[in-house]
Amino acid sequence: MVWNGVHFNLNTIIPWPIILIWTLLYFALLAWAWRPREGRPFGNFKTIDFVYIALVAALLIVYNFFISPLIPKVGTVTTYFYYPIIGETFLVMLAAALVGKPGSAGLTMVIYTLLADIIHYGFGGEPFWFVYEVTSYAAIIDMWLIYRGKYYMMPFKGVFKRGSTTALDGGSSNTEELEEELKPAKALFIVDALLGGITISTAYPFWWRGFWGPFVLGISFTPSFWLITSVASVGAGAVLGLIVAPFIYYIKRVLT
Amino acid sequence: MLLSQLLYNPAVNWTITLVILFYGPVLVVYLIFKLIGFQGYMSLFRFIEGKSVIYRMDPRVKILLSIIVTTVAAITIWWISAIMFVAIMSLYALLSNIKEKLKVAVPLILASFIGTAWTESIFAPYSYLHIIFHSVTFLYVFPQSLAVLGITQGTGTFYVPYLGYVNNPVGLTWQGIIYGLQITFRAVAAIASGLLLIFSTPPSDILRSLEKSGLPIELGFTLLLAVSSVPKVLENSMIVLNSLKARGVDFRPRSKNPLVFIRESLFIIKVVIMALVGIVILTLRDARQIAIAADIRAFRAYRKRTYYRDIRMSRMDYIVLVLLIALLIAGIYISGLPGMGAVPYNP
Amino acid sequence: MAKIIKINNLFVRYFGSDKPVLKGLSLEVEEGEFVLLVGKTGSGKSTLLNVINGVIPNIISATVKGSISVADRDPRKTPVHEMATIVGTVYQVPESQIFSLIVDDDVAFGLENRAIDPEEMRRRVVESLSLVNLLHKMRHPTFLLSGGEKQRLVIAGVLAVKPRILILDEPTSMLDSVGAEQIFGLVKKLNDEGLTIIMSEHRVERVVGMVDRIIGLKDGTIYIDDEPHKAVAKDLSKLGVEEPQVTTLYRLINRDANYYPISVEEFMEIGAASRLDVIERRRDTSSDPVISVNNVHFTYPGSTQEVLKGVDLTINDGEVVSIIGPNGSGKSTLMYLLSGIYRPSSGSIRIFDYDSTRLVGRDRVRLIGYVFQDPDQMLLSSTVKGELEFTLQLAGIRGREAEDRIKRITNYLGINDLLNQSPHKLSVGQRRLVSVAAVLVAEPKILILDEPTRGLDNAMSVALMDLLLTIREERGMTLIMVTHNMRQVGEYSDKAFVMYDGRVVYGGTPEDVFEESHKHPEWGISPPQVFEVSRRIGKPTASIRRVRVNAA
Repeated sequence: MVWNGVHFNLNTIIPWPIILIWTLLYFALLAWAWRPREGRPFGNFKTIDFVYIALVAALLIVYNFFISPLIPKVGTVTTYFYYPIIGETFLVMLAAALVGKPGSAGLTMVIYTLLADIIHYGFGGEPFWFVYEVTSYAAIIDMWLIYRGKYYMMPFKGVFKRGSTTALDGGSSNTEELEEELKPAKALFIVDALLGGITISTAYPFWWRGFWGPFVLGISFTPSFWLITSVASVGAGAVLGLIVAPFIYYIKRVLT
Repeated sequence: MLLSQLLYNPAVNWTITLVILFYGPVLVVYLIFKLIGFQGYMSLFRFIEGKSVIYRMDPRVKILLSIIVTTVAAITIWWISAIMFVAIMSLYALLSNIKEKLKVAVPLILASFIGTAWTESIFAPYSYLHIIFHSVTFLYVFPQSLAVLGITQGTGTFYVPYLGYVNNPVGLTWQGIIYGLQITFRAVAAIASGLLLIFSTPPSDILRSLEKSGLPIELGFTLLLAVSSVPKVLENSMIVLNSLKARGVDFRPRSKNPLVFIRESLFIIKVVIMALVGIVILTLRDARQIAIAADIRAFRAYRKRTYYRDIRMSRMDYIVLVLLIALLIAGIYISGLPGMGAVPYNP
Repeated sequence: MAKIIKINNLFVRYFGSDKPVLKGLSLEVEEGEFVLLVGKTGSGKSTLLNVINGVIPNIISATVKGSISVADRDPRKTPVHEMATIVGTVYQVPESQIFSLIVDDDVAFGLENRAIDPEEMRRRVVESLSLVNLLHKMRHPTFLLSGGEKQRLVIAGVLAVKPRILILDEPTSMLDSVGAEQIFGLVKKLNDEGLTIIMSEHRVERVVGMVDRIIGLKDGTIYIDDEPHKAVAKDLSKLGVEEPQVTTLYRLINRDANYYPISVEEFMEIGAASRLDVIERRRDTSSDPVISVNNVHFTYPGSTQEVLKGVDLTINDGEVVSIIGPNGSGKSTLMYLLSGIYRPSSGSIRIFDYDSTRLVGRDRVRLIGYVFQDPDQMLLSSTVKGELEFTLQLAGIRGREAEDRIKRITNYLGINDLLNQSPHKLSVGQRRLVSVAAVLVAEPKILILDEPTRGLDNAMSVALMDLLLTIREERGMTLIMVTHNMRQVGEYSDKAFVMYDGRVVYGGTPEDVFEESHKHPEWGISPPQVFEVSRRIGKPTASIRRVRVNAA
């Protein structure tokens, strides 16, 4: 049976129940992160967060459709170390860093996928490509954001201390009650970078080759090829994550 | 005899092989960058009003068209996809300013056509071809050593024209080409119908129709902003690259000395990263201002929204809808006929 | 008349800063008034405007003290979008305020969000668009509009919810002169129809004639608050603000008046013109051409539209040349060709006896420098020093020489204490200086500046231009600037070229060009007041520095 270009081939390397559980788990996170507040979906997302995500999605489009094709690719090397992914790594991590709320990486991927479908790929295979893109490129980053929040991609962590309630008279509307103090946390910064880089780098070799590609298109890969490229991509992701980290931190400092 | 000596002379053999191996990617890059270019891609976002039927259709019907065409293409043999592709391309005649549109659509479709057909036809695994078609005919063989690249390699002895019988040949097969065409037309029909939607519908109407069907305004807004920012990001990219050129940056390593060549290349990588950071900052710097302007105009202020344009299904939309469903049913029926079903991607 | 805005003893302090931006400011505005808000960058103009519309503190966090009442509401306690139905706001960059790809969709955006009835909405869209005179472009793509049209569209979107007050925060600073004229005309019309207007603007000379009142801010307090003729008496230049040239001229004649002319007509009526005298322009001894452009045609790769349609141009050594004309006439493209970013499709460009297309790499960098319009388009390093070193590396200058040059140029421009800072974190003015330094450090013989004073206030503009002119004098550089500021053209340039529709349609001294511009309204050039005044006494000059006063 084939529907909208989807083959529903369940003969995959990663067994489908794992994917199902992972997807449900992540969607539950999204449902929580985007739960309506005061009748509005997307929880505590502010207008500026949507703006950041929109602009990063536009940058992703330009990177993937204009810049990436210009990067010379050496066939056998790219199989194991797909270096053009650096742009995507950079931009998705940047969106997560600027917004700093769980669900931001997922939203970035949703918007990007929608745009890419509209201008290039068409809607064949949907809605499964959406599920693939968000669960593989964004899920881990979004989960990590629950812990890291707005300090993601900064060598700091926030520690609450009992704030001195600044006495403000004359009808001012903002009062600072709990003050957050910055504590240096270089190790966390490195974890941020590794996690982001590895998540995005392994998305294709691990998740796509292991499940989504075969599931949607009906193609198949040998388990050994899948395993080798997945392991290689972990190393590649670590390297790429560490390369982009200082730039993301720099941009975050400049913009906020 | 003469022909066989000519075709399989090692030098000629390698030349032909390399041309076949590389024409695909090179041509794709050429098509996208020379023929479309930045300007062309920007015209994707430049909706131009039209009067014909296609403009008056409900955007949702057009989205459905794209989905059904993709589905039918996926389940039927390649030449049915090809017919649908031709049919969709003939609908392009209903677009206004068709020349400008074809200038974008044709290279885009060709690029995807050549790109997919090329990879799929020479890299199709022999085992698939054997299972799907039972017998495999080699048209031209490449040097044996290229088997490592993953090019189709037969198992057993095959007759190759002008060469005779060859053991485990590596090369281009007739079935590989059909296999490639199958997958290509599937993609091409989908792209052509997707482009038709964009060319004939103002982006804001696509969004309005989706919002009416339950897409949250937040997503609609973000998507719209992303779409309308693409031209600006492209412009920013051009300007940053120009400013680097004005400062004397040469983006091609030119030295013949390998050490200097590597140094030049590393410098270029550094410059490219600088440029990317610059483009990102230039683009994101306006974010705060955009957010303020959106808030002032009551973005997300109320849950209820009204729509500037009526998006309603007209009688014609229902007719098209019926036709589309008929197409889907016909597609499903045809796919069950012997020899009419899709060549499976993976047996 | 009713007071529509009442502000008393306003203090505003941004979070993370210890100094307040506004310090005890009190202000009342009557309904239907047209108020011009002036002051240096950082004087608190934008802060004041954003307090009136409630963006501070509702979106931008800050501590706000004092009492504020706008149409009997407190903007602090009213949601921003509700405030917007009373106070419409237009900011600097039109692109950041447009959300749709089609003109009428964009006007509808705010109405759809407010769930206005579709029938009513369509009526209001048409109404607003005809008010800003864009009805004929209703179904036009927004990104193909000119800058002035875009800003008019923004105004239409704001007017669609029928506010009683319109706030404009430097609405023309990103526009060319044609666009700015459109905005000023429109704002005046809206005011005549009863809308209260508060506008902050650098081009004081151009708008002073249509406002009811000028408010000058200095360090967060009101320094001037008066009707225009009296307000200019207090010497706006002390606030770092442009002053009408006729005011400056009259001050030369009568130092202590308390009522000054603001328009050419008023100046002529007073009858002071007869006491003015003009020194002849120094006729420069002709020098050798450094740039000659011969019948250059150019089409961007991948496009079919010819941008340059046969440009001829000669620029001599040591000259200061202005290139003027409306946006889209090909000015920037011509500069791209001069700086070697693109090659002409046909025709030739010679630079110092070199064929331009042969001039590449470091040879070119040492000959021609190009300062882009927006410093952020050029500043790509994480420190100022890194930025300068990057240029030197490309120019092939290393070691001691490089260190010396960095020291020299930064001392000269007064940015030596910024060397280790990130250029992206600096103020507008500082960033501009760094972008100039990043080009000048290679010591080019020709310097091209694309709108060098865009986004700068008057004080900074004057300082930057004086600095550039001094450097030119010392180094014998040739300066080419693309600009929309006609006062600058008159003050600083030896020659001006007018570009229109892909051609250089006129060239000559600024006086010649201004004279000719009277016959060509399509060029969008409005000559500075000093030219109009001196022209009427038969001694036309474009520069106020050449005007002298006869003893009475």
